Amino acid sequence: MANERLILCGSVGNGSLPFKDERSLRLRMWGPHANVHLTIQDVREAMLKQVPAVFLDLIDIATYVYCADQAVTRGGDGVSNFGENWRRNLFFRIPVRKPNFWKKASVLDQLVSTLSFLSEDEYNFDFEPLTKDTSIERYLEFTQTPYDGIAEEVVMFSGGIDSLGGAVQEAVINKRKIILVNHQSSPKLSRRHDHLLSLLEGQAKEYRPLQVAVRINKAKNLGAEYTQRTRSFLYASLGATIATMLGLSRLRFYENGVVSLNLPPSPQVVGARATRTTHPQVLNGFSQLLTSLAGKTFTVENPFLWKTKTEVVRLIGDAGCGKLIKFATSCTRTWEITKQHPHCGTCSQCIDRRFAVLAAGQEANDPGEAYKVDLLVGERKNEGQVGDPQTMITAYLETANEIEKMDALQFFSRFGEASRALRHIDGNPEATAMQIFDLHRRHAKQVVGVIDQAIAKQRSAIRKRELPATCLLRLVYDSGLSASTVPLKDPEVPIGDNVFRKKGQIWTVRFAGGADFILLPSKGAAYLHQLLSQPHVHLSAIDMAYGVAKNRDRYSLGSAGEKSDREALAAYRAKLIELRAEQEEANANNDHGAQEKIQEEIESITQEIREASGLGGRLCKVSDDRERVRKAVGMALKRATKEIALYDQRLAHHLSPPRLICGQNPCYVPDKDVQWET
Amino acid sequence: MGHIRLGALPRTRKWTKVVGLIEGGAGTAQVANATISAAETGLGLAAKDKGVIETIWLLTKLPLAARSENFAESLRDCGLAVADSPGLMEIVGSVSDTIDSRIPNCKGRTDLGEMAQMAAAETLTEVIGQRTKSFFGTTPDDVQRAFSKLATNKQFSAFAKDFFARFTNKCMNYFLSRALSHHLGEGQRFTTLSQQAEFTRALGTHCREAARIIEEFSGGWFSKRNWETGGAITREDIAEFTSYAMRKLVDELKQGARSDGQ
Repeated sequence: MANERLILCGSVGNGSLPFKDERSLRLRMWGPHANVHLTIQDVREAMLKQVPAVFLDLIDIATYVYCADQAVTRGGDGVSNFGENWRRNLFFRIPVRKPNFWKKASVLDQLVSTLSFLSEDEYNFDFEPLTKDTSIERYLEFTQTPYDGIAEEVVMFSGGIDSLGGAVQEAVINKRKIILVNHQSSPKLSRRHDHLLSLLEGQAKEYRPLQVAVRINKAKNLGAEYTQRTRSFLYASLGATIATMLGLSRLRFYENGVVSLNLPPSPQVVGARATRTTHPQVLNGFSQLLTSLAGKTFTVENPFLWKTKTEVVRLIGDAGCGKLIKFATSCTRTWEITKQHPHCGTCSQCIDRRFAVLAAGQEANDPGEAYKVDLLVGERKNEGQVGDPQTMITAYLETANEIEKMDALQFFSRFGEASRALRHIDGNPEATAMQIFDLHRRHAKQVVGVIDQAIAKQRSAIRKRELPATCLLRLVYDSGLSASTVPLKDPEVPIGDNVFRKKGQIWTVRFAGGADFILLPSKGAAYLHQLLSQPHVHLSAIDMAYGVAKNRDRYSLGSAGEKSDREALAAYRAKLIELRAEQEEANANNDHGAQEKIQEEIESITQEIREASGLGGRLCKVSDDRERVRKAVGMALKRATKEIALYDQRLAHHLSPPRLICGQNPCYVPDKDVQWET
Repeated sequence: MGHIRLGALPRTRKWTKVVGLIEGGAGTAQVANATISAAETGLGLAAKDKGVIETIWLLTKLPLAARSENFAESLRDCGLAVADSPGLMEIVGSVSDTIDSRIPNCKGRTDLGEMAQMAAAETLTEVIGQRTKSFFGTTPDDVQRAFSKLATNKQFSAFAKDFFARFTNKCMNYFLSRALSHHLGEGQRFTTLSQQAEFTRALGTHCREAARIIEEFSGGWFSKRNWETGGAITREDIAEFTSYAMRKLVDELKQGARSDGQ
């Protein structure tokens, strides 16, 4: 278990822990050493009702989980070890008001299984009694904004397009009084959210929604991991507590179904690397847990599960709220947001949003200038830009391209991840599967529709090659050349049966009419090329090396003399005797630090003496340059033929003695019928 | 929400070679060979991976369950929470949920296991879906019949081949998807997205071709082991089978690059 961490919360003790962890994390929400602060703002006094203790516990638990999620790293990409450290084992010891309730197997199972699926980590909880109770007022900041005491729904509000769509659906279309629970992650975003809400109030008139904002401040050292997969657990916990205060037993997340199911857009996105924030399985888990807490049915639902983002944007526009779209914030790179460019245009959310806006015909309400990189004609280079923008957009579009051509069977045979939702959505799994497919096909058609329209619109610029080479339209526009898996840089194709030819930086090789393969640039390949170009000619290893060398001055030949002089060798030997004496002393004193240091020195000096001494203790000479070059050429040829053996064993065999001779004068002596095109 | 980040390949010597081959225009066989060589240590762990073993173990149980008198009951005995007359998608969803619950995160769950689990869901849909023509409007009896046919030597071979081909292809693309789009655009290896997609498709075909080696022995192994154990193939049996299968597959992928050069 490589990536595990102990998280001790509040003032709990550190006795009888399940494993040793020198980097254990201490999180405190209260007291002089508090490093986590949760504030629920804009609460109206009239809202404040008695909150069951288990809900207060839930807020504490969710806050600690959320902070630990960001404090414990997942070990980066972890490509070489198949994400070994991505999944963490987190042990929490948390003080709660109702420890017996939280220790109940049914409650603990629901908590652990929901969190595990959400963030793909392993959770272990140890609940201790809270010694000093904290009332909910400690979290709250009150406002005097009028409140008529009517709240029909609590809706989570991220400030993005989907949640704006949800607010429009509830307050403008359905004319319901709602509370929007919003996370204020930064002052920059808060200002945009406030402006968006004021516009929404203007549209909803007497049904204007009320906002309850949540702010979490934590110590700087608690920000090691960006993924934040447990964020929706914290929101749901806060939303459910507010709903409970208001006497409601339902909580709504509004998120389009494609993002909610979040199928991997690229094969490198495995498991929860595609977020599961509002995945049906997660929302079901929240519902079950909250039902246990409330002692009655409590539902967490996503009314937009069967809508695409384009359909959500269309809904906003049709409700007469199109002008609000540009103030919704989707971009994940909040640090890049400026007044001029509130959207980076390259992150997955910006790409998704822009496609939806264009597909829904709402471009006038979300001007392209607000995007730092234009979706269709903006330059996207991977190099030097965060998050591989070209990889992101090509993965997004290629997924849509693929799905658009699929039938339902092909879809589920291609996206195994979709099967995870089948049993967590009400209804027959076969019918659910059809709905999931239909949703994704609609989305795919909307995406490719945008591309088709853009190509038509930009056809003249495409033909004239006026668009940036790395923009999306240039990448999708097929010039009519047949797609090929052979290099396109050099159209010249060798025609002979035996080819060893340089093509740009690489070598194209073919033997006895077999398939082409390439060799990457190497000295060995260059030497082989020299030999194959002049069969039956004994070349000089020195000339070959000289011909290939970048720095030809290195090849002034001579002897380097003795490796080490006698005086130095004697000094080494004397030092060795001294060190052995010191080692004995360190052994006697049981001084491990000194022992280790001395041993290292002894090994180093012994190695020097061994290298410098020949037979009978005579000093060795550094081999002269001729010998060094002969060996280097021979080794390079050997490495090249070994590489060739990976792809064509017959050629590797052909390039062995007696046909290929190494030494001071390497030579290629082919059979009569082997003619090389070089 | 819906936040996804994509990354690049590590800059180690082996992965730099893979990138160099893609950039230089190497064919799928050669790129596959280099990828397999770079990822060989990681792939070698598949036979010990609890998620991979649990997935394959469940796959071997399904055809046998379908041959019992009460299909649903037998599936429940394997741990699948299904109704009395399960359809294909219910079974596929249950297989996924069962593996999720049996292999907790950080207690054996890895990206390899995750890819095997997804490959299993896709193989089941493809193989059974094709046999029942669709998964809509087919009766639970059709589904059971299609599953039971997989218990024959020949059908199990095809089933295993499909699974291992998908699994290998997923592993390859897990790495290569980090590199391919870096060589997209004018003057690059792939001028257009469709060329990149064609390369990806060719890689899938290459993996399917390589997985024919699995077809040669898996059906025979399944029938023999099933007979020897009285239908109680263990996870240890699966670990041995997987170890052998992965070894053969890796060799085949390497050999594939050589034979292309012949």
